[in-house]
Amino acid sequence: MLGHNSYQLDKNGVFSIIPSTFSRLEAVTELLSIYMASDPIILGIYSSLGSRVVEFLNIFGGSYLDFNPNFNEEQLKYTLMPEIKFHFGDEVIDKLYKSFSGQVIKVPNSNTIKVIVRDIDIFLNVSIEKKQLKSPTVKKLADHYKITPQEVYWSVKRVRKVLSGG
Amino acid sequence: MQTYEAMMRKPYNNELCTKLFRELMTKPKDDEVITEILEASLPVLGRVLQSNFRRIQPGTEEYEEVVSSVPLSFYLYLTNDKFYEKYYPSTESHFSFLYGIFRYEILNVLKRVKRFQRSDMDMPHSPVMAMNLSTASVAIEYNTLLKELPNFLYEEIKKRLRFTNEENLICETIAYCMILGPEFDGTSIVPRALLNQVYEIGHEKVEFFEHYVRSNIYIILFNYKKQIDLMPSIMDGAINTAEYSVQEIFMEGMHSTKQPEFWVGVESRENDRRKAESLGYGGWYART
Repeated sequence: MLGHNSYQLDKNGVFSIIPSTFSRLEAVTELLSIYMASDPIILGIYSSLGSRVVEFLNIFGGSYLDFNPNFNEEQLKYTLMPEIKFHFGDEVIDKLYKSFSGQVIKVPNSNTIKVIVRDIDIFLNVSIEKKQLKSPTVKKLADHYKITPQEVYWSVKRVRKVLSGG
Repeated sequence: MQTYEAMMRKPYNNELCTKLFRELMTKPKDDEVITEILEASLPVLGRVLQSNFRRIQPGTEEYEEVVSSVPLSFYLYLTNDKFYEKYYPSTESHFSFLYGIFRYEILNVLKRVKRFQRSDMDMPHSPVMAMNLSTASVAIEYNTLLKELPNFLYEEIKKRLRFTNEENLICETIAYCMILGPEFDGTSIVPRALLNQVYEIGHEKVEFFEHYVRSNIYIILFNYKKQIDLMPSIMDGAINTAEYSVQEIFMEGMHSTKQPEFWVGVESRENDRRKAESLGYGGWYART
């Protein structure tokens, strides 16, 4: 078939959703806001959604959201606002309009969010040295996220590096 | 709805069997024909059990395992290409042919049961519990979620679409490409050629419709996330009793070469191998 070259943004992620995390979702979202402190979009979404950030990012990952307050109903039809209203409720939409009024934001790609959430969940569960790669918790996490124990070690290292400011 | 046991007690009809096998030649891998063939040929399994394995009584572990996993392996044979090509011209050889297959499969099952009994381990559930035909009495929910989730998703999204006329058509085609997509090389990716054509018709950028459809897919999946998390993995069932994993069969059903990642419980065979080794089944797994 003609033209498959990377039109779709999330090529592999059409059906994939983030598997439920091992640690509490609130802890993960708190750390996510610290981890992505340099990204104003995620901070804005976190302030209006709280612990449902991950869900929001998963659903609307990679898409453009137009927060123009002067839109008609017909113009609103061609935005994703009705979907947000339907799934998250009116309060969330009001808060989002307050934080992003008059802007068109691009939500980060859902695949990157999946990787970040996975890394943070792993970081919260294990703080490992290289010797402890064979521990049962590491195996459990690796099985859950379909990665190798070595990758578990790398992801812990990655999060630790960002949080320490390096 | 019939159970496998009920099918096994039915009388065998050789003419029907030959007719169905000929039909299968014209429509290979057709689900309806395959289920009919199963229904027609499972009486032979009953005869094999009666004549050659009288010790296996109903209620025992071995009997349950035979009833559940022999039809599965037979189903896998049927989904293979051209295995029955030798037999279809003759009208008389079907019974002996089926008899041979079932006998061989029962012996395989008994070997496996014995292996577990020697090592004092419980027999794991067969993957029939997780993946099954429409005739099975067990695990209807799993069946719907595994086999029919793509179709179900497509229908749900059709209901949700809030556009009309041409835009509705655009969304439907995008959803079809993303979810089912057998016509587009099975990659489940929206082809650029299609979208370029659509771009001239639609009022908005086509990218918007793509985001719209994808976000709707995620919303529906999130509503079913609890059920998806609760579903058993392959390890919860037998590790690898069949030639194919459940995932592979499911992928055949989806008509796609891509891994169905939304199915959180099911993992790839490599992961199964790793899991098996971590649980101490390593040697056994390697042998099979």
